[in-house]
Amino acid sequence: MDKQAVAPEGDSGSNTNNSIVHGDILEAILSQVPLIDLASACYVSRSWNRAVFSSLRRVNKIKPWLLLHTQSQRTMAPYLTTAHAYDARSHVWIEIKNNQPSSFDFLLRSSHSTLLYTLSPSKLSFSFDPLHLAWHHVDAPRVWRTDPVVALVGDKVVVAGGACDFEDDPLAVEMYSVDTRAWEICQSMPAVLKDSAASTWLSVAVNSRQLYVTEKYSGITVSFDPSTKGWSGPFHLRQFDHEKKVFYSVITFANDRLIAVGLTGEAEDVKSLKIWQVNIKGGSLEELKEIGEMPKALLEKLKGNKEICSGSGSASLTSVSVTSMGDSVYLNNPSNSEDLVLCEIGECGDDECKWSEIKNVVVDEEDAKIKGRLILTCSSVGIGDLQRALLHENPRSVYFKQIQ
Amino acid sequence: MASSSSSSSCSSSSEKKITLKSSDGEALNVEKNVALEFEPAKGFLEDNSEEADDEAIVVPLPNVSAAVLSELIPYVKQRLELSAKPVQKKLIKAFDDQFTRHLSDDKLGELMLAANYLGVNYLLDVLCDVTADRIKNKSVEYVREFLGIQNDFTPEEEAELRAQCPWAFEGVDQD
Repeated sequence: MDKQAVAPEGDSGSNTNNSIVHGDILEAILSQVPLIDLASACYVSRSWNRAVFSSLRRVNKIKPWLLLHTQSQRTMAPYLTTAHAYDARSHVWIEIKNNQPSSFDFLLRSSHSTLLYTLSPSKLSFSFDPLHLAWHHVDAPRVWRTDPVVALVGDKVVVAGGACDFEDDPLAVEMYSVDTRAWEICQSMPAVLKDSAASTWLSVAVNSRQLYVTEKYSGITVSFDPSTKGWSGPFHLRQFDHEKKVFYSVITFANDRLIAVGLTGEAEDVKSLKIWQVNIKGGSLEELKEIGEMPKALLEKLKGNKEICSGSGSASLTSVSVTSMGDSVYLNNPSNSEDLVLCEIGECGDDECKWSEIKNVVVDEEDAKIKGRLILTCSSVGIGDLQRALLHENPRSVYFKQIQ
Repeated sequence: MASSSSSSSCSSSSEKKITLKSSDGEALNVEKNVALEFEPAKGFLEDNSEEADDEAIVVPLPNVSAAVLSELIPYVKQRLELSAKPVQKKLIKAFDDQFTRHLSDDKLGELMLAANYLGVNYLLDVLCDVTADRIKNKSVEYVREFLGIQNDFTPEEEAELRAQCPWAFEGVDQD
């Protein structure tokens, strides 16, 4: 019955070949091609260029990337760093390689989703472009700090707290304008944070106008407005949690909504991880509206329990870090980063959370441990960002390598 | 005794044959349940449902050659049998992989066009994945060649692209 296979194949092929792949089929194909490869697919032809953007708009939309920097844990500089990204649209991990190995003389840090920085006694270096390729180097703030909150609000880099309390005001705040390239002294952080004014204890959420800071273990929350250079608050993030179920909470912005991520139970026995929308009215908390709960299986993964429900699975979860962009919130257990969790939050009004597990491939193959320190940020990376980063004449040009 | 349930159920209505007529005029006999997987055939059969004798119906498929149809029909048939059973997704994937692994680039394109025209979406999805895999990490020129795409950039634009983005034209994998 295979006889028909001898049909004139060349004939039918050559007629249609020129236009075989176009329209919906082409867009469907392109939806399966990783974003890093779409950067060059744009150069195939004009119609392909159009199809790439149409496919990204209609079929498989761009999703924010999780960027993962590791820095070697040597005692002395320079600290060698690596950069990787997870593209949730294409479900691939990507290694971002510079032409030269990159190293920093100081510890790479991030206190919220979009900004990476290093701080030395004489210099503050920060980067906020999507792939963290461009670095700004400016004079250090006046007050020496070991562990401040550093956040980009609009075009202002706010540096708050983290100072040594025997020397300076531990709550001191300074602000650098990227626009005017000048430092300004601001109102100090509210005194209620005097014992915890370091980024270790604080979680930070930023939109284009304001900076929110919450104490992870108490829920005490304050906000800073760069236009007035002053603080408001405090309010208590968990004031409606009368039974004191939540023992730990962090904040971030998703879809321009302030959200809180909280752990209930206790560190040795975390019962649940929940997400709330934080509604603020007139500077105080109006409502904490639950919008999602992490599925139990993912929670166990996050804790680091390999065997689910084995009874012996009792790994503790003392903290969770979040980094977000758009509707994507990436969650990480700092003491076990082998499994990450992505939560995609619906538009306002649609309170559906979509949870997915991400196996962290940036672990050492030999002992399955992450080498050195891990710094997470989140970015909206578009085709244009990739093309610019790959530009031949760009001195900071990089190349991308997909990890299988 | 080994051929118990499956053969008995197949011998009934689903065993009825329909004739499909390809673009190059060949007539192919297929089981009715296979023909119903093809949207144009399904529509045609619904429109002509008053016809008592299915055997007498000839469904014209003017956009698909006999060569392509004769590859599609066994695939759809086996795929239908697979999905009728409570099999794991893995098995279906393995079957799809086996079907697509040895397809030439030309054949891949023809099948894609046919699957789209015939509305066999599960096959179209698989073929799109395979095509995406084949153009991943490849140079712009390879993709043009592979899919027979006209380069419609002006020579000046092309030269500029090549100067600025040589990586796109070099390709990471061996073509």
